[in-house]
Amino acid sequence: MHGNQANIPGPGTAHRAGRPGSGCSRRSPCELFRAIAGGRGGAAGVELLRSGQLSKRCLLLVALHGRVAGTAPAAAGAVGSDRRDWFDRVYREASGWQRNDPSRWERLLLRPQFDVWATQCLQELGSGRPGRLTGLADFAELPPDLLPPESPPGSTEAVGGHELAFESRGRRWRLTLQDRGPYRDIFGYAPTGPLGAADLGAWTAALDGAWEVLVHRHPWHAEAVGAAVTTLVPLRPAADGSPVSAAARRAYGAVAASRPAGPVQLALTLVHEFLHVQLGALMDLVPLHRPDSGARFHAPWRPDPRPAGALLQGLYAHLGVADFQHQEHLAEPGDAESARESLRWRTHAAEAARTLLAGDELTPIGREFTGDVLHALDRSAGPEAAARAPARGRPQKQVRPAVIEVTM
Amino acid sequence: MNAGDQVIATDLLDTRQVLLDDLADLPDSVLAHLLRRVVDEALTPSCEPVSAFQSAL
Repeated sequence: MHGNQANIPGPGTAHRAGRPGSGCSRRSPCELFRAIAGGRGGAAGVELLRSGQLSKRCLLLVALHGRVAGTAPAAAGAVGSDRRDWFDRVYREASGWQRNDPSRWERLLLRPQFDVWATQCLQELGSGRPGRLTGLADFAELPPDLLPPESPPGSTEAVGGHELAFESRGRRWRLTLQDRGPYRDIFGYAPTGPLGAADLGAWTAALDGAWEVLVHRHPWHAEAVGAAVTTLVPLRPAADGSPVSAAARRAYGAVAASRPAGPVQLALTLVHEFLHVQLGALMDLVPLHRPDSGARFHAPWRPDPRPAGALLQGLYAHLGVADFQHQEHLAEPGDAESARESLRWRTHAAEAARTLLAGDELTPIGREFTGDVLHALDRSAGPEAAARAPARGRPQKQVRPAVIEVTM
Repeated sequence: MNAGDQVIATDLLDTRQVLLDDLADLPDSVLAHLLRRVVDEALTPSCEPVSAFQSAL
């Protein structure tokens, strides 16, 4: 313990502070960490990561407010006093929400693209540009007297879309199908325009079917996806018509996808992209790999070598794919395709995990995480492989000192 | 990490418990560290920031 330290409520506390009915059970942080590594953190894992996102995004807002207030004279002119004053008034309004209307405060911070907006503003201010501060109005539910002083280009349409709800076996999933507003292009694929009635109906049916698949055959994934994924940005398919999907490192809670052919494919896509989102949020709490050293590694699923962070992301998402396909095969033993796909992705992910474990790019806790992923991959190989799997427990020397106190 | 450990190592303060107006009451070094942590990551991300996980299953 060092001079500067502060206690943080552990995830157990986070659970107590969790939303009523979130279904979180009390598990120790290490149990949760292992469950998340195994791709089955469930709602409790989501609650832990959600609390981290709230903290990070609150700090981003504070940092941005500080930067704006302390803007150097040259940049201050670029920002403009009217925007600076407006931003300060909104900041103070939001601080009132934090005290008196916490759900409104959390809705603001947890808009998936809030992080992208704040980061872009910080980057622009840092380079002497004004930053799109008024973009905050895209996320905040502002009273009329706090609307931005002017509407800069591209901000005329707030983040929004169609509010949908799905239910299966009593489990509900609320989702915004975000087909309008800014920040939908952050996923690297072209988003659709506003959906017409036919496309909206097709999306609703597809998502309803995917939710059925998840709840009935992959309940652990349904629990996590239902708790974490609040937004889906519809994308245009690839030029050849094949489906595409994506997640963004700074859009916790959102996935993006073109509409796949069927509900099983969409359910699989949701699991795959959710795991990318989940791993990004975990890495906001604990660094699992070291800063990019320039080293590149073979990724069995791609022709180009990848940095450690990208390889870790890939193998974690493919753990979910292997698990999903294994469960599909168990549900329909005659489905040879799902068995082949499970084996394929399990093999690829395990190879990538061993590649990372053989290198020096992972942090100690990243090695723990990757080892747990490797162990979980055996689960998706069925009971025979699980029985062959090595016993749990890893060398203690790899363990970073456990702290629920923050050590600065 | 073993089953006896009850914690996860993180240096991200859980600011959900801290009002914006009260953040200033944190020791300067603590707040400065926290802000530097999120700003540095925003300005020079250690991970691929966006669009890194495009998938074509």
